[in-house]
Amino acid sequence: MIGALVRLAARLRAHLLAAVALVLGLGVFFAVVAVVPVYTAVASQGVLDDIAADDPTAPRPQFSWFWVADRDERPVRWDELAAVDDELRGGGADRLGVEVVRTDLRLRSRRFDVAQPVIAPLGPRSISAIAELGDLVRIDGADPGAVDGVGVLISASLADETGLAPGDRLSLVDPAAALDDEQRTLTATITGTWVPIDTDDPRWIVDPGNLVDELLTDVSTLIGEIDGDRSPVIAGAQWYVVGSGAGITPDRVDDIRSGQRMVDRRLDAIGTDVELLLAPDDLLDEFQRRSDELRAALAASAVPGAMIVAIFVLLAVSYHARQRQTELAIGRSRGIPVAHSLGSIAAEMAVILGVAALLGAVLSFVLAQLMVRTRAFLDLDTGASGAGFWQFPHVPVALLVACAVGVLVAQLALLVGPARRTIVERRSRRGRLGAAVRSTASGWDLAVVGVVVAVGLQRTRSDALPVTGLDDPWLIGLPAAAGLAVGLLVVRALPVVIRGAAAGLALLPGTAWFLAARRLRHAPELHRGPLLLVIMSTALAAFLASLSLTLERQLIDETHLATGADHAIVEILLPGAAPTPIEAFTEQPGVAAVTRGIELDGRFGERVSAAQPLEVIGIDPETFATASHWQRDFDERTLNELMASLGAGPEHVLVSRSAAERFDLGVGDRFRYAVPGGTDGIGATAWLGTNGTVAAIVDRFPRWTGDDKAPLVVPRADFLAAQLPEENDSTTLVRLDEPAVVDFGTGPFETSAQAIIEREQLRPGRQGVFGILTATFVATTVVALLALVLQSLFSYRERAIETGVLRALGLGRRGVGVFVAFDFVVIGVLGIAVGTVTGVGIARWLLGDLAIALTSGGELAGTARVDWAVTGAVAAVFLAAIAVLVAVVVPLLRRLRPFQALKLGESV
Amino acid sequence: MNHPRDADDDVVVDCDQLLKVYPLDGQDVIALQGLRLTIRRGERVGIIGASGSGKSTLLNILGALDEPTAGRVSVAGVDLTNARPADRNRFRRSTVGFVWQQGSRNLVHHLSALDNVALPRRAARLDDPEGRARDLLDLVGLADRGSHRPAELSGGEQQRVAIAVALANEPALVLADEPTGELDSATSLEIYELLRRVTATTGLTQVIVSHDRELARHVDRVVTVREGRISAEHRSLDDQSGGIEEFLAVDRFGQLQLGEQHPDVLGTDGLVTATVDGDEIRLRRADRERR
Repeated sequence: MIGALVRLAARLRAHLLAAVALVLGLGVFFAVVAVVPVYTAVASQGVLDDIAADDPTAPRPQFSWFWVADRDERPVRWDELAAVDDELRGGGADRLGVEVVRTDLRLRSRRFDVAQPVIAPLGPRSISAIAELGDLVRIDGADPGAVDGVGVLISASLADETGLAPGDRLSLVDPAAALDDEQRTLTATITGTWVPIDTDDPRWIVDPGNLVDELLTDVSTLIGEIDGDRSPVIAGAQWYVVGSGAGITPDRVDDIRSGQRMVDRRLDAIGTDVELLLAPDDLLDEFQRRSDELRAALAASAVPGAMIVAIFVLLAVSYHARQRQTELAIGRSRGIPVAHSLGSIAAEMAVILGVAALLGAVLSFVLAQLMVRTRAFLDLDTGASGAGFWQFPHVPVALLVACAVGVLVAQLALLVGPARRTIVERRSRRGRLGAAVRSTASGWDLAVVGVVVAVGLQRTRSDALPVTGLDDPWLIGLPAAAGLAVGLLVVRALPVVIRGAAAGLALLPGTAWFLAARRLRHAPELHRGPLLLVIMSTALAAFLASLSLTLERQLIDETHLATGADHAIVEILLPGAAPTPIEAFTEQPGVAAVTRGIELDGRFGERVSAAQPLEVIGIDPETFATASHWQRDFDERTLNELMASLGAGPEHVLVSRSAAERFDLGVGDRFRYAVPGGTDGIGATAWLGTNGTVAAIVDRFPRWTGDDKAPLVVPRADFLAAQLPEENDSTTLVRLDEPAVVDFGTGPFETSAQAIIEREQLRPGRQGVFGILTATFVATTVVALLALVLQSLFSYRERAIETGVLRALGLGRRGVGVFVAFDFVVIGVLGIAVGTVTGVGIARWLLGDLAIALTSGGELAGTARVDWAVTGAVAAVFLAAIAVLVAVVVPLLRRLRPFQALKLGESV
Repeated sequence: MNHPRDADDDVVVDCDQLLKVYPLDGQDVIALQGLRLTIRRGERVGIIGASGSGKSTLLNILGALDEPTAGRVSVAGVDLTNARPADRNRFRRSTVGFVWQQGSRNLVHHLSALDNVALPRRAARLDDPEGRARDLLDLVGLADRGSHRPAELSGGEQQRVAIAVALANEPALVLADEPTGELDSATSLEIYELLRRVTATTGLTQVIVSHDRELARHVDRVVTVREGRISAEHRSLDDQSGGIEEFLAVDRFGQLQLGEQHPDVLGTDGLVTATVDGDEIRLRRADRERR
């Protein structure tokens, strides 16, 4: 036993350099693997905070509602709904109601031409009792339940628009039926109109403005008269309670969750102070989805680091195996059983792995402490504790054990085959083995390239996947894989590419250049590992920096697009009041330019129709360009060109592409549109028709964020104002000398783009995302730098032996320095150049189509931004690291005495 | 670079009172102590000795890979005793060629055989490196393996290429350290025969180090190194019998080392009496003398 230990110690000492390199390499590998849960707990804290804010199980006072459905998410039947409604009423909830929605009925009015029906998304909406609407709406007319058959209320707006009036009869048809299908037609009688009293009342589940096209009736009418003979399952229903919120406990939520139905049957607990007891499944699903996204984002961020580390470990293991193969072959030729040798090597590897695992654990502990204590490292401002890592130690431990076993198995697998041959046999087969390895490599590197290209094309061209999120493992994995693919291609092409350069180098005087040229030409395997690492790391760094910059610019652009400028002030005028003089803004310090416009909800066409809303933004063509935010990707033309087109005639308008397509408009076409011009005698909106001539069609426009909005019409503000009977509400856009948060004293009607940006930048969820990106960026760069250093350690012995041979041939120290330094320079310059180009290319390729909803403003396709500053800094860091390596390795080799270097060769 | 005052054009190697001390684990180890050796042009000299006797150290010093601690060494008229690093580099480039036991010490593994052979000529800035390299590969019987890299050659072929490399810079002296150490006996014979043929063709001087006493059959003379000194010299008999005659070496102070078999004859106390009789010196065991 002691003898075995002594032999083991001797073996470790004999291979001290390799053992140290392996311990360092594997230790770092283990640390990187183990530290993933650490930064999961730390970097993701912001995202978790954000998710927690939306946690539907968290108690908070609010007006809420949820869908009624059973556990299988099957909508309840009419009879079940009736039972729920009765039960709710029986529970004594005086501010409790059921709202039933059926949106799939279409209106056919006798006032419309059936041949050209105007199809509106109408459908009866009911509440438990019309009386409950008492303080929400003003009703002119009778209760719907007062008439036989189906009685409905319509909004005053709808009445204005359509000319419908109480006493009129409507035809409602099932959308699946033909308009003239009498069997599937329901006749309803208008009993009155309603107008919202206070649109800001929180009990409005949806903006009452969105309800103006809907018919209102009560539950009993809906259930009793619109019954499910035609449709046994309602399209959807929701019930709501109103309360101030207190007393929710997790136990109670769990009790409800464990029930057969989602509806809380203990209605006796519901009173005026109760709050929503249960979240709908879709909110829970959303919660779960976001959690899954977070995990996926974290997993995605670990992909590139794992790839880089895996390449390094493969290099380390193959290096170690190469050393041991010779040893095994010698042992075999001397009659030592292979099993004996393998056992001995396995014991050595076990010691190395044990020390490496220990080192990995220590490193990950240190990293965890650093990350927790210096959160500024991750640019986080949250209460991250990092405690999650230590609560689940089995995860890193399991990973460590799995990695260690994997490495050991890989090592032995590399040894078993060659161990069966003698050293002489092995040497004679080396050529064929090398050819076989090269042949295999030539297959899998092209396979990697193929997969990357295929996935890349699929991700960028597929209509099914137009949006790529951070949770998509390919978002970061694809650039990493692309870096690997390009690296493999470079390695494959290296001998060919370098042939010309090598020929040129060989012409330079001096043996060192000849050797460098020959080495480049014949020994790409020496450059393969470091080249791959440098290419992958710089590519990934360039991509991640560009991704961060793109997301940041996306936020800035998106915010400015929505705001329209650096600052926007909406001024709502009381009757008879005059707007604030524009000088009040222009004279403010820091203000560069000001423009004023009018924003209205318009309608397209001569006849005002609910189905054809417009956004009307009246602007001043002379000042708009000086103050508004404009980006090149808004339109092919410049803003000045567009303003010139707009200013050419009083009726000239700009229209959005969606307006042009929907209303079949082209440049030069004339059309009619209407804008609200005050109210009539009964308080209804008075619409003013006016003309517009299309001067230009735009893709985007300040304060109009895209096709998800109503189509846009941009007339001249002076022309619009001339049509309006009185001073109208206005929007003032301000450009500041430099982005800043300025308070103009207009309170809630003021929007500062910079304030929005800063608020969004501080949002925990966003910080968490950027924390993950930063951690990935730093981790991959550090790992690659470490790998380069360790690779230099691996190759030092080989270089030292080579140096001995060359010194014996009379090569001077200077020549050795040139020869070795040239190697590093080639790896550095080539790797950094190719990696940077790859990273930038991938960024331009992917980020152009990237749209990530990091902001509440929705998804907006980003314009790829390349962060040249950070990319250059990373390149400089790698160059500096390589310079340091040259500064360390070259003097060491130069100082090595020739016979010492040659002596190293004796053990090979 | 100094030339010895008593330079003899026929002398290629001239070592006098060579001393080499290595620091090892905090102690000084004497590798060579007062070694004297003279080798003339065209000679093929073998150096044998046990491990640690100092033969490889001697070879390193002769090849300007290492420096003596004291004493004087001159090779091909070049005094290496206090040569500057640049002069040593120049010496290795132009005056000496090496053949080592291991392929990794002889050849640059990423160079082809042809490039390896051409490399010394490039380093020495001699004309037509590739043409001459082809001639040398032809000489060692590997004209068709010029494009092969060392890993694609057998051990014997690697050593042949190494010999071509050693000859490439047209050296005055070839130093070979265990050139057949990793080869089987048949291949070893081929290598020795090749070295012999090369000498016959080029007339250069060879020093071959080995621990194998059979070396004496392949060289003109063999010197034995013991404890850092030349203790004996073996020469083939001229009578075609294949026999080898052993001579003991006496230094300028009259010191000599007896062969390993002699102490048994001399007894246990190690004292002898010396009697000079004409050109003979007789040694007798002191205890017998007393009796």
